[in-house]
Amino acid sequence: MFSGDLDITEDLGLGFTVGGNQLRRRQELNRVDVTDFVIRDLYTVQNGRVKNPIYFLSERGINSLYGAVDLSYKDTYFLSATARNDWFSTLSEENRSILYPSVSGSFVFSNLLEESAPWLTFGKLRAAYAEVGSDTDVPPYSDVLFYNINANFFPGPDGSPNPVAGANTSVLPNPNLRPMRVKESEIGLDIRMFDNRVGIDLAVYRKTTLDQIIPAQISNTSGFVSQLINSGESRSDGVEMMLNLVPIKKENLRWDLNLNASYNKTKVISLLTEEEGESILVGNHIFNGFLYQVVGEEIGQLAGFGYKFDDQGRQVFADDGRPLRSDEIKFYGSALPNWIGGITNSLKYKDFNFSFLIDFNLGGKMISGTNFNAVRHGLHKMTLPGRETGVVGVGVNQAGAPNTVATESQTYWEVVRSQQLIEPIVYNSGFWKLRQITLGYNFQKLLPEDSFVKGLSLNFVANNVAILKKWVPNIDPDSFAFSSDNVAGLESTGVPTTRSMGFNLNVKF
Amino acid sequence: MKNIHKYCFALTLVLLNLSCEENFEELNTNIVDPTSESVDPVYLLNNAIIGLSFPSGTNIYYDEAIVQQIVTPNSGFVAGANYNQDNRNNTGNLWDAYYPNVIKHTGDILFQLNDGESNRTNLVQMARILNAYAFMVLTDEYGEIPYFEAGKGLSEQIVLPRYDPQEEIYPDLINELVEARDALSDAAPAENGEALYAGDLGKWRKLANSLLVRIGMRLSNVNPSLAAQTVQNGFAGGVMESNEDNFVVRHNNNFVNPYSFTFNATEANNFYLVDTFVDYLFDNNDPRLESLAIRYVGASSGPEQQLGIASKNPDDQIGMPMGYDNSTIGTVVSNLGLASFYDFTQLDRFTWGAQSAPMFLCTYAQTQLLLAEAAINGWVTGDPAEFYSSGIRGHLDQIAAYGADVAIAQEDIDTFVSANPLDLGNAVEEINTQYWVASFLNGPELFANFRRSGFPNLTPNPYPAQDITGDFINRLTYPTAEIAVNQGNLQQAVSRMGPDNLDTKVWWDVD
Repeated sequence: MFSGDLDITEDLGLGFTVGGNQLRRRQELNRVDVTDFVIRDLYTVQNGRVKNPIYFLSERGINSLYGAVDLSYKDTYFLSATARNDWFSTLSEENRSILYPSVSGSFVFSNLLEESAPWLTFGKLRAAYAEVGSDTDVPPYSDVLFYNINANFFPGPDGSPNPVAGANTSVLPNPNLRPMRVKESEIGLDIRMFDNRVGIDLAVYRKTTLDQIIPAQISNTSGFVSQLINSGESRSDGVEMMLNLVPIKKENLRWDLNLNASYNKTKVISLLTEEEGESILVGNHIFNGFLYQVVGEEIGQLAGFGYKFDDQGRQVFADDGRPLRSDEIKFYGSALPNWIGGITNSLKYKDFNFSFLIDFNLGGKMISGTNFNAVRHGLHKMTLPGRETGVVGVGVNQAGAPNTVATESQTYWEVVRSQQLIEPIVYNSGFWKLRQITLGYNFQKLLPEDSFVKGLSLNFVANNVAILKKWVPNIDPDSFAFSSDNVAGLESTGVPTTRSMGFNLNVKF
Repeated sequence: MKNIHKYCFALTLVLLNLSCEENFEELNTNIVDPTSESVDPVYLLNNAIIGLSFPSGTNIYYDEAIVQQIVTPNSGFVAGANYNQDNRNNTGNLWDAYYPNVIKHTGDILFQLNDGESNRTNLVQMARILNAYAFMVLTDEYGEIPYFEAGKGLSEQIVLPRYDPQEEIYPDLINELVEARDALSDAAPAENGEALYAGDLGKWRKLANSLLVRIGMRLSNVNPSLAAQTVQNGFAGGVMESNEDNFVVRHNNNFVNPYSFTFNATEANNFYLVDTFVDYLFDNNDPRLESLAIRYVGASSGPEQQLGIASKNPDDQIGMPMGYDNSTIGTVVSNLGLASFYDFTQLDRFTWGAQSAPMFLCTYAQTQLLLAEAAINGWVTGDPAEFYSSGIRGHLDQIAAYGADVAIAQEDIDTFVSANPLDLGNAVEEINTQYWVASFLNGPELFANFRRSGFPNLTPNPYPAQDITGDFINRLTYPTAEIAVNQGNLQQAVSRMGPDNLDTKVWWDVD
């Protein structure tokens, strides 16, 4: 990488950077799985009767070239532009290369208002447009089908040993993958006022994702169950806000208030076509339920079979009183939250400090596997009514007359498993949480001035203190993390979250 | 000036960097796993053969309970035809086994060898015969299925295949079998590495012909002329002549019988022989009862099912009646004076239900019994009674494959066969009832032939909370995952065939 700085005139500065980068990732795995140990409690490879050695090698590379130019005028106007080209080894020769630019400008208007608005500590307006390319970490060799040789021979009619092999994946190779491209425009405003006692940072953005590489589920009658595809276009619109306040600032007392919130909505514009309603299945819940991308809808639509209702909206029951399943798959909304944010309050009184953080995550839906299991095993509160007398579902029978049949509770609720119904266990995944509390004392004052200990403070810290509001029973809606938008909202039996409490002793020498 | 130097340096780097793209081909080449260049496609055929073994969900929980041979009183995961309820976790098992484990491999073989350069014509014909068999089983269970476009993800990038009416699938199955049979060639390279018949083309031809007989008989109600013609074609070509010719998946401890998990592992104490089946064998003095049945006399729990109290004596066997769940079965248990439902007769899990138990897909015995009915119809020449006797004898002989302990002695076979001649006044019922016994554990064939022939004469399952409106289940429902992903094509199938439930009849199922 090379860079330089130039002061063209007194007011005009120019900086530039040109560089190249080579990324190589090599993953090599040598592993032996051993079972059937002979000597008790001796877990060594040689003590195992059955050994299964595995060797795995994967390599990938990205070559990049990039350049950037920064211009500044009077330290008030800034403009910078970049360009980058990446080449991905994982993609075919025709589709391997992608060039993506960015340009951004900012204007520190407080510099011009120093006299007319002295209360303005700092003010900046910024605008940016950026593109980013990626191969979305496509696994190497995704373009060719490879085979697995079975470890054992299969006996023929005379006992003769016959080799067995088959494709080693259920993912259909796709040699035509293209790199994805994200285009993002953003306008932002950063203002600090009254000697930094009020700070506002606001940003509005639109992000367009093109050709995202996703594992689309396909019919297993094709021989495979999924295929990596370039999935058209999705668009995110959002706002990010931050407010910093210092309502009290006295010698012995200081109160800091920080508020941040973001709103985001991502809509699918196209998949393979732009036809409204076109859908691709991208995720399966471990029990029942699906995650789709649907053209014209928010990203990450949760879906599955629900209860059957008639034209008048009355639930329909079988002649023996069991709930019936909807004829078609129902959609229950997006798994992704729209609002995320937090509020931090910090108080300092003399040498005491106290702070707490409340955060929130609102607007998403989830399929809860934990509650699903509880329902089908009769452990869920909703299965209690009619435990002794039988459940009489509120609704009509197939003939349209009111349902009056009492069904044994077990028979009534097991339907969710045998008919794969998710309707009772789709929830709002939102929450408000008291995330953290800190209470501490600074002992600095009590230390002798010539002590070798320069600082001493003790803090009590509690994390994940309380769920102030949630809509899903029995679990912490925050208990399952998802790594990508393609597996969002699918909760299954996870480990419960924990509350931690402890002391932090800080000693400086 | 200094800066200009830097600039030139950067340009040099640009050129260096661009040339680095060249080793990307090498970088993106997998040097560990074999490709289709190096894997002999006969290995894939062997994989497809192994994949033909039936999974329990469809074929025990449903097929075997529909024909009232094996049942469980338990609910939840194992619910199925024991309650005549639609349990989507189980109905799709066969679909989820056959498409990815059979059709995927045969599709791969046909794609690889269909380039006009290959001389492995015998391997192609073998793949076509297995394909025809697998699709027949699939369409018999589900009705309309992806057929013409199935298994073509790799060859034609068809990821959402359309569904085809059974009416169009069956004629093509016949076509495929006839063409494949006729194209098997002793002049082409031998395929001794295949695990079914070790490359014996004569046996492959007999298999194709026996499947033609089976297909023909399947169509006997819906299209008698095509049925007769197909049976005749198969019969004239030469069908299986002994148990040596059977179409069977030979399991061992590496390639295990999928049923063995049901009969030996977590569900070992949940499945019982149905009284209908046990009583029929007992009333007939059938030596097969002693071979296949076992009862843990007085067992009051699963763990009490120990060999010490086990009896294989036919007089001790008590089959479980249809129509009860784990709470209502209690009344039956006390009425019969049993210790618990664990006290009912089970399949002998050590032999018939073992890991190494073979899975018979199409047998000499079945073919002989079908020919007996064909002879009654006048479609083939031959004595129906003789076909009937050799069918029964064939099955009694075949049982030796489950182990010497349960093999039936030759003199017992002779006694039974001579004591049960075909009654020409009641021939169709007798033949198809024997077919029911001879097809024991072959779920799809039992279910299909019961629907086609109406025999054995079964009393409908009286369980109170059923999902069906008729007397018996008529087809199995599609897997939910397929509905989720291939809805457009599936809806078209449903609009032609009827709703995706257990009541809709398949095309050939007419009275």
